[in-house]
Amino acid sequence: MGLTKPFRSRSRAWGPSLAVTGIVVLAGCAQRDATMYGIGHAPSLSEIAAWDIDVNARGDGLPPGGGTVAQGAAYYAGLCASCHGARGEGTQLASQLIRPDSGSGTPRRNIATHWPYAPPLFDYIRRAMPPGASAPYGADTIYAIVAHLLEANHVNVPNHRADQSTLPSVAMPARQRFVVDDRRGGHELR
Amino acid sequence: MSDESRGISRRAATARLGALVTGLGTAAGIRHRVSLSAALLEGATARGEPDGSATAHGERSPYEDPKRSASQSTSTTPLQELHGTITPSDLHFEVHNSGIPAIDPAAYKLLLHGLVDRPTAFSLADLKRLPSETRTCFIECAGNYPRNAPVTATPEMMAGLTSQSEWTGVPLRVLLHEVGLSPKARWFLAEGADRAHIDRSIPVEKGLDDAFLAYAQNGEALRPAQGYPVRLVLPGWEGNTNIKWLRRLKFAVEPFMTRWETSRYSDGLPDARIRQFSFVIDARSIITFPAPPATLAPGWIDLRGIAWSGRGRITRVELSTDGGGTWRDADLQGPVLSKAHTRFGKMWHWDGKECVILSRAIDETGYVQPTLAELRSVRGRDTGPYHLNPIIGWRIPADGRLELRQEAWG
Repeated sequence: MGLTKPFRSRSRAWGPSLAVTGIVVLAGCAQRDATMYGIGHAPSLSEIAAWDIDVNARGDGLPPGGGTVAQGAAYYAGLCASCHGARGEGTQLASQLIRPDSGSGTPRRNIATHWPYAPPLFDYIRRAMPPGASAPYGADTIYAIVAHLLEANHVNVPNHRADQSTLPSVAMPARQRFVVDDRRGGHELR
Repeated sequence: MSDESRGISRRAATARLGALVTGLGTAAGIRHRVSLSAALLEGATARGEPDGSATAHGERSPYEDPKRSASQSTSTTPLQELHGTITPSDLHFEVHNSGIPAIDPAAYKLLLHGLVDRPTAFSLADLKRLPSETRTCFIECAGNYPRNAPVTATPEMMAGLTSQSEWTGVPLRVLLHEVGLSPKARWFLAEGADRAHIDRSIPVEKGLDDAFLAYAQNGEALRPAQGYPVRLVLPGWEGNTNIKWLRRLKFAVEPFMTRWETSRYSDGLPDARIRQFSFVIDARSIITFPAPPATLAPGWIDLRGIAWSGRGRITRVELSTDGGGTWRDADLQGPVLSKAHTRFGKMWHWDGKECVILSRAIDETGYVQPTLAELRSVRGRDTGPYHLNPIIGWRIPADGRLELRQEAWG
């Protein structure tokens, strides 16, 4: 899967300067202070695994498992709707998740308009939902909820199912909207 | 207290103030100061209040009660009540998107892993053994501007999601040297130990520049509300990136595209575009005195406030007392620090006639704080609530009751 403009322009913007800066700064560090202090300890693999919970835009970190749109709709109704609204429209308690069909509600930032990649949906639900509990949902449950939320936002979910291998390739409608900040101050106002 | 000693107190107070103002420390001034203290002590005891004995924890005068305005997850700094540029630690603003975790410092751990030669876990004691640096800089929430605020709005309401501390901690570049950062690494994920594990992707370039891991705030350990025991400080960058209760840094080639940097902290632009990774806080200023809720009497007054920029130093602050018709430079209180709240001021004589006072900041890149109209024209209608830094000010009607002067959002 090729990642689109935001990654490439960030690489172009940062790449050459980072390479130069990195070399200069690291070399500078070496000249100023080559000492390695040997402070800290090497973590065990299980220490790292316990905290290594992130799922990135490409889907690295997605666990085995999967769930269907139909399962997800049921989970959503039971676990999410009380705060996010029966149609994902958002409430005082929680953000809008599903873009309202035109005429049926006020669009706010939602999965259709402001999520450029699908795997971080899994990431965020697993690490943060519901508020006040520590990651109680299993992988299959989360895949199902993600599948439901995507399809409700009119995103094509192959075979109406989200899983470790298919979620990274889901095409998100918001992806093309995102551009990386390249302002540098000065007299321009953008 | 006798009339004589009371009289001495008044004269002594005046003489002392005069001595301080003129910078003269005369023997007579010292004598009067001792008399003043004794008189106060005598007066206090006569009124039955506690005497002034030493204590383990200092308290404010009972006549002083500055406080934050707090909702469940947010509190704002009462800018109009403060002086100088350091925010008292108990008045630093708060935005807690998932509560304040209680962390035992003895159990604290920071993990650095991913594209590094040596994945490493550091205890708090480990971090304190490493080279430390101290820097005074602001933190500001990207959402620190209310559109269509009421006319009674105070500086706190208009800009209270910014505060400044003197932070002490380990430069991140020291840690990157310890763990052997891979040349392939371009980004890192910074993640907190709060319940939602709020996380942001940060360019490695910032990590190698002025990023540091703070464990002290204004001379002592961080407050829990500011991320005890360790937070990330990215000078000049939006508050959300300064991850509190820091637990993990993971180094990678690409940004992680977390929820916080896609659906939250991003800015609408014209033509349905969304600007992402708008890290830097743009230059801004606010007059904190006189300001609502004060009532101003005619005469001379030190018109003052704070200005700041995430891109570096403030080089100029301009003041207008005619609603933007004419501008003149304010004086800046030195030393002017980079990416730090900077005090400005100018003595001004108010003649009692209605007017509007405004300030605008210019930073070292040449950037000029814009009007809201200018900002909206480049950001578009649906820009959202972030990175809004327009010029605002106060209207002073003839009765002196200051009110907000803010361009309508439209």
